[in-house]
Order: sequence, then C-alpha cells, then structure tokens
Amino acid sequence: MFGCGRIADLLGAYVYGDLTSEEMRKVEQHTESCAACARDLKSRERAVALVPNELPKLSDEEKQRIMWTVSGAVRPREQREAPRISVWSLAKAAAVTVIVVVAFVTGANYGQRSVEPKVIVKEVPQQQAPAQTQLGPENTADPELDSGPAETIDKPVAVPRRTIASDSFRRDRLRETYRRNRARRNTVRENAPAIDGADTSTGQDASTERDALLRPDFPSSGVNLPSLESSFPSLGPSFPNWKDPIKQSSEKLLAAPGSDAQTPNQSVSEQPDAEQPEQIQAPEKP
Amino acid sequence: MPGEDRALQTAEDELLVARFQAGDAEAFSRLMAIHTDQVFGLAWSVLHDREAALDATQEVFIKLYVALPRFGGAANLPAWLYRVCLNHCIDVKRRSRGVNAELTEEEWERLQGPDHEDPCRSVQNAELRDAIRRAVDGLPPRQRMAFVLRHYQFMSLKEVADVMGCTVGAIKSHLARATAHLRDSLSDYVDPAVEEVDKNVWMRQDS
Repeated sequence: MFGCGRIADLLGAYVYGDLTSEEMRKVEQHTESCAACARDLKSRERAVALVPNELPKLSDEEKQRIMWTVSGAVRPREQREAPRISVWSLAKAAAVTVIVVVAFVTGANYGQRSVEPKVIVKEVPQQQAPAQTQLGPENTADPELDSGPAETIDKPVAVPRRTIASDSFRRDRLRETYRRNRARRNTVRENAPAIDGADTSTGQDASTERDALLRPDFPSSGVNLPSLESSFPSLGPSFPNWKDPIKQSSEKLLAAPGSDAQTPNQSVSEQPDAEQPEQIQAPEKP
Repeated sequence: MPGEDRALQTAEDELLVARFQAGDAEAFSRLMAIHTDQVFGLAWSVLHDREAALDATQEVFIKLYVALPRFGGAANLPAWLYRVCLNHCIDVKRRSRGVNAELTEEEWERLQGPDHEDPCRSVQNAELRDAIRRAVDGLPPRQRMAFVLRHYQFMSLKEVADVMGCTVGAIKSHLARATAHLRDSLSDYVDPAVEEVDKNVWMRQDS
C-alpha cells in the first residue's frame, strides 16, 4: 500500500498526465481513501492551472536580428572592424581568448588532429578528457547542469547587448578562462588521441606518423599560443573568398603518397605556427 | 511534437549538420531558422525578460556554430540546444539576482517588449499576477528547469530527462516538488476547501 510520502512524489507528474497507468491507478486508489492527499492533489492542479503557459512569439525582425548578429559574430577575422572596447587590457584578453578558442576550432576543422574535444554530446562515444570543453564550463555532457561560471566566448566586436554583466566582471571572467584553458590544454593533450567519431586506431597511427615525420623539425619553445596569422583564418570553411593559406602552401610541400584523409593533418603540421598544439603532445610521447 | 514530426525533424537536422560539416554555411542559417523560436521560448520562460532572452538565444547559436564542426549527435540537436540554453539562462539569472531581485510593476512592464507580451497579462487580478510570477521565479534551478520544459515546452518526461541528464523518475520528483512549491506560493488562491475560490479569477483566465 502506498504511503502518503510516496504518493506525493507522483502527484506532480499526475497533474500533467505523465504517469504510467499503473502509477495513475495507485494515485487514484490512494486519494480515494486519503482526504489529505486528495486536497493536496486538487491544490496542485489549481496552482498549475493558474500559470499561463503561452510564450511570447519572436517577431520576424527579431529573428532576423538574431541571425545577423550570430553571423556577424563569427565572421572571419580579416573582415571584422576594430575592437570597440575602451579598456585596452580587456580587448587584449578578449582577443587572446578568441585566438585560443579559434585555434582549436581551426585544428578541429582540419578534422583529424588530436585536439581536445569540444562540447561533447553525450551519445557520441568519444574519448573524454577530464576537462571536456575549452569553451568554458558549459559541460553539456555533465549531468550537473546548474554549475559553472559564465561562458567564455566573448567577442571583441559585434557584441550582443549585455543586459547583466559589467565590464570588470567580464574582464575577470576572461582572465580566469584564459588561465583555465591553458591548464586544460596541457592536461588534455595526452588524453585525446582520436578525432573522428569512432575511429580511434586510425587517429593514433596518424598522429604517430606525423610525429615521426615532424619531431626533428620542431622548434622547441614553451609558448603555447599559436601565432595570429596562420591559425586564425576563420571559423568556417565556406565563407566567400576564404583561402586556406595553410592548406594551400602545405599541399605543395607535402605531395605525400597515400595521403588521403591524412593530408590536411600532415599539411597543417608542417607549418611551424600550426604545430604549436603538436608540440604539447610531443613531449608526452614515449 | 508527435513522433512522426520528430523523426522528420531529426532527419533534417542530421542532414543539415552533415552539410555544414562538409562546408556549407547555408546549412547553419537553415538550422537557425528552424530552432530559434524554441530556443527563444525556452530562454524567455526562464528569464522573463525579452531582451535578455534575445541575447541568450544569440549566445546559444554562437556556441552551436563553434561546436558544430565536431558535433556527433545530430539526432539530439534540440536537446543539445535546450541544455546549453538552460545552462546559460540559469547562469544569467544567478548573476543578475542581486541586480533585479525585486521588480516593481512598472519595471516589469518596461522589461517586456513593445507589445507587452507578458503572458500573465491575461490574469486581470494584479496581485494574483504578481504572485504567479514570484511563484515561478522562486523555483530552485533544477525544479525550474523541469517545470519550464514540461509546462511551457510540452516536452515528454523522457525528453526532459534527456535534456537534463537524469532519469525519468528524477523528473517526476522535480515536478512533484515544483508543483508543491507553486501550491504553497499560491496557497491563497488554490485552497481546495473553497469550492469556488474566486470565480472571476478562473473565468478571466480565458481572456
């Protein structure tokens, strides 16, 4: 026989009609005999009925505005205007964060590099690094949703109007995020072998090959940041007039036979600037 | 959304994601066109502030843009979007709690869009309207998430569980606690001992 406590746990879903028929039967049986729970159920039903559930509609104008702002925020760097932020250090921190973020996106866009995984969707069986996203604490695979500070994508230009955060708050967040990203990159490198969805073995072999090719050529430098020019072409491969400088020049350098899917990686890694992520991996290899 | 529609939508999402990953920027615009309304609706139901909801929607799609090249689970694109949106909105609310914890009626009016699309406007009784707003705003984060997804977005418990990353049983508990909270906050208006609590209130609900 269900007690009042266990019934109470089902009453919310009962109001919305979301119980199984078995559970519904139990609730109805109980409330027939228990006046207190019957009252409880009635009050909940009324409370829920009081809350209107119509949402405001998005006007076409607003929808257009959102789409324009988003596409403006992700335009290639060359087409952007000068930063409009008055505080110079904030602009620097923001630019550095964006560069760091985009460097990984660029690496990810070349497909097969061992870059730390981005925001992971739970269903995909990828290798999970301890710190799962470098885009900030929106750990969408993390079941704890209500944790974590602010997002880290702060663009120096085309900033959507902020209603809440103040400048100093954002500056602190950016600094924090930059430090955290640096730490994460160093820990994650060793744990992120594969890039393509399920094909871990290919990823490993490819990166070993690449390392075998490249290690003698690596300039040893402790700098983690890739340089601006080579690693920051754009966030998308299909913008008009976008020429991939790295791919073009390195395809000439590496006319490697049998380089089908691996070509972009090998090409990219030939460039000293784009090799920066590789450097971090190299010391960890035995 | 009935099952068939959902299957079609999933197929279209997967196609668009694949095209985007192959280099088609138009596919992203199409994805935005499909999902912006729902994301905005979700953001609004958490934030109750039109401008903030618009900002939140922008942020969500920017994050999608950056994450999409590595996106493996296109079948769950709406769940991903909702999850990111909720994360962001709960965080914005937490940050702003000190700023606008208590809003007067005028401030609340001002925050709404030019058409004053406060859904609570259908409730004529001003006190009741305030009470409802405060009741919903006062829900703790997890319960608010579950409540918003079920009450405003009409998602099934399974879908809510997917978005929130917990079991269906946990969602049932969240809803139980959320409805209990609403019942207590609105106790003046939902007393079951009174048969016709305030007939006018109920009738005005339909306007």
